[in-house]
Amino acid sequence: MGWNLTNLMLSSLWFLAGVLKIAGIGTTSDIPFGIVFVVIGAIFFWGVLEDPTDHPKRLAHTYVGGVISIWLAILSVAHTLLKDSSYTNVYFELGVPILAVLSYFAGLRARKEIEAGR
Amino acid sequence: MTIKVALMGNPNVGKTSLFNALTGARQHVANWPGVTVEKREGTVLHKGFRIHVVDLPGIYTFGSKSIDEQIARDYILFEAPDVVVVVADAVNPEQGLYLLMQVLELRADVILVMNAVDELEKSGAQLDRYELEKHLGVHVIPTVATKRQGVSELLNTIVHVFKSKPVHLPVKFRYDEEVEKRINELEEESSSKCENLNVPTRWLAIRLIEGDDVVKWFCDIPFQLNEEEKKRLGLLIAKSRYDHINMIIREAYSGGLSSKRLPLDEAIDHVLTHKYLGIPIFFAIMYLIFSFTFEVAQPLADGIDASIAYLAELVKASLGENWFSSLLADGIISGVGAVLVFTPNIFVMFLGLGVLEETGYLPRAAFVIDRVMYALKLSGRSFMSLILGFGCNVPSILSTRAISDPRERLVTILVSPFVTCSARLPVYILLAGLFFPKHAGSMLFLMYSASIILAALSSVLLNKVLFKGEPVPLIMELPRYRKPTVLGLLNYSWSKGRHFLQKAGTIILAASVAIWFLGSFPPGDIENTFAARLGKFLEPIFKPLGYDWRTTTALIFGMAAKEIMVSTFSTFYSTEGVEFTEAMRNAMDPATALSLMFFVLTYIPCFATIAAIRSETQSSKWTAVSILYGLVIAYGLAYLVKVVIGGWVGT
Repeated sequence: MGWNLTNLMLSSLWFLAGVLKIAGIGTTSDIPFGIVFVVIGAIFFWGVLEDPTDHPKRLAHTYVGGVISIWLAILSVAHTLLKDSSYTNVYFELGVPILAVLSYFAGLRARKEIEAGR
Repeated sequence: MTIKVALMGNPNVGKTSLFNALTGARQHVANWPGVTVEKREGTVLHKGFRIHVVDLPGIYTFGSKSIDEQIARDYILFEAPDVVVVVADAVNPEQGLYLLMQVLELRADVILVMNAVDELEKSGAQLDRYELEKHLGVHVIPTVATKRQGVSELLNTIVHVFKSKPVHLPVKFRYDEEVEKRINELEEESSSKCENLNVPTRWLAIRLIEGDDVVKWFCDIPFQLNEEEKKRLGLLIAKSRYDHINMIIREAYSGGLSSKRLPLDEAIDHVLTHKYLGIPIFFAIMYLIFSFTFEVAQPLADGIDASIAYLAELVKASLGENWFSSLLADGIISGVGAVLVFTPNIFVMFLGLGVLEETGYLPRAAFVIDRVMYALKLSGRSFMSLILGFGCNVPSILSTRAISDPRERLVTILVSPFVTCSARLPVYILLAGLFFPKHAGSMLFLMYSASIILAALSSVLLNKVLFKGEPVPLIMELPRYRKPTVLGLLNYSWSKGRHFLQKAGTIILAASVAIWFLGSFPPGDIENTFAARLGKFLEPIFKPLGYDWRTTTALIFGMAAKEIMVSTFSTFYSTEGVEFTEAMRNAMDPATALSLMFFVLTYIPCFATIAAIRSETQSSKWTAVSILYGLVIAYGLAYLVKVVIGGWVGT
C-alpha cells in the first residue's frame, strides 16, 4: 500500500508539472520538455498498475522514475542558471528539482528493497 | 622473441578492456555486444618477450556466418597464434565455456580468463579456479580487466604456456555414440583431403557435422547431411557440451550462480524494455541528452567564439590590412574557429551518449526499438549499427559486419548515411541557435529523430523495391547494468570527439584556406569571386529551395566534410562587415534554414563515408545508389519543408 501511494503521488505531481509546462502556466511553455515530465509521471503510474503480488516490478517503476527524474533535475537547474533566471518562473523552476530529488530518494529506497529481495 | 597471442571470447565479455589493460591501448570499450568488428593489434614487452596481442571480434561458436565472426575464426585457423586466450564472463560462464570447448578441440595451448570476478563476488557466488583447471586442463586466470586486476598473472602465464610449448594434443570430449560414429567416418576422409589445414582431423569432422561451409570448401569433402539429420546431430553435440559445462559449473562454483541475473537488473529491465513505456522512455532520454548538449555546452561555446573573434581582430591589428592578415584572420582563424566553436557541444553530447552506453542502456534501446524495426524489415541489430553513426557514419558502416543476413547488412549500409553524425552537428547548432533560439534543443532532437525515422523509412522502401525477405529476429544477451566511471566517460567522449578535432586541424584547415582563396580572388567585389561564380552557376538548381549562391557553395564544399559548411558561411557572410551570424540571420528566413537542415541531413555522404560504403559493399553500383538516393531525398524533403513550413509561418 505504501509504495502504491508513493507511486501515485509522484505520478500525479509529475503529470501536473507536465501539464503546466506544456500549457505554460507559471512557467514558459516547452512542449517537448513537458512531455518528458508526463513520461516520468507515466513510469510512476504504471507502478500502481502492476500486479500487487509482484513487488519488485512495482518498485522498479519507482527506481527507474527516480533515476530519470534526477537527470531531468540536473538539466532543469542548468537551464535555470544558464538561460532563464527570471523570477517569474521561480516556483516552477525550483519545484521541479525538489520533486526530482524526492523522486530520486524514493527510487533509492525502492532499489534497496529490490536488492534486499523484500 | 615474439609471442603471438589471440584474444577471443563471446561478445561483450571484456575482451577489449583486457586488450587495453594488456597493451596500454585506448581502444573504445562499450557495454554492448559487437563493438569489435575487426581485429585490433597491440604489443607489450614482458620478461624479455615481445607479446603481440590480437583482439578478435566476439563469437559464440566456430560455425559463424557474419563477417566479424569469420574474421575471428579465420585468424585462429590460418594465422597460427602461439597462445590463445579465451575470455569468459565469470558471472555468465556457460557461453564462454562452450566456445572454450570448441577451441580446446582445436588446440591445447589455451588460457582461460574468467573476467569480471568482482561482479561475481558482488552477486554472492564464488569461483574455484583450481577446480576449473582440473576439469578443463588449462590455466585459469581470474581478472577484472577494467581495474587491471590479474593482468600481470595473465602475462606470466602467456610466457609460461609459450615456453612449455604444449604438444598439439587437444582435449577429446566424448559425444553421443551416433555422433562419435560419424566423427570416426569423417576423420579418415578428412585426414587425406584436408592436409593443407594444419588442424586436428577430429575438429574438422565435428565442424563438418555442424555444417561449417568454409571448412567444407577448404577440404573439398563431398559430405552431405539432410537438414533433419544435421539438426539432430547438431543438437546432440550441443547437448553433450552443455551437459559437460553444467557439470563443471556445479563443481567449480558455489554460492548461488543459478540466479544468473541480478534482481535489480531484472527489475530495471522490466521498466526500460516495457511494451508500452519502453519507446517513450527512450525518446525522453534522448531528448534530455540533446537538450543537455545545448544548454550546458553553450556558454563554453560562446567563450570559444569570443576568443576566436578576439584572436582574429588581434592578428588584423598587428599585421595591418593586407592579403596575408586576411588569409590568417578571415581564412584560417575564422574558418577553423567557426567549426571549433562547436567542440563543447560535441563532447557534451558524447558524454551523454557515453552514459547510455556504459550503463548498458543502449542494447535495451535496441531491444525496444526492435519491435518497430522488425515491422520495418530491419532488426534491432541494425539499430545498434545506426546508433554508432551518431559519432561518425564510417564506424557505423563497419559495424554492420556483425549483421549475419547479407540483405539486412546491405540495407543498413545504404541507410547509415542518413544518421546524423557529429560533422552535421555544427551546422544544426549554428542554424538552430540562429533561427530557433528558444527551441534549439528541441530542434536538435527533431533532427536526430528525423534521421532515425528517415533511415527506418528508407529501409522499408529498399526492402519493398529491391530486396524481399523477412528480417532475422534479434537474439542478444542483454549486458549487466554498470555504473559509469568518470574515466570511462571521458575516454568514450574523447575517442568519439577527437575525430572532430583531427578534422579541424587537417581537412577543415585546408578547406578554410581554399574557401578563403576562392572567396577573395579575383580581388574586389565578392560577387565576382571564383566561389561566387561557382555558386551562381549552380544557384538556379537550388532556387526553389530558397538557397542563394553562398548556401549553394557551402553545400558543395560540405561534400568533403559537413563541418566545412560552417567555415564557408563564416567566410562569405563575414565580408559584409557585420558578425557573420547576424548577416546570415538577415539573409535567410527560418523556413529556409529548416529546409537547409533537412538538406544537410540527407544529401551526399562525406568522402570518407562514400569510401566506406564502396569498400563494405564491394560495389560501385550500390555506392552510386546511396549517393543518388540521398540527393533525391534531400531535395524532395528540403522542398517539402520549405513549402510547408514557409506556407505555415508565411515567409
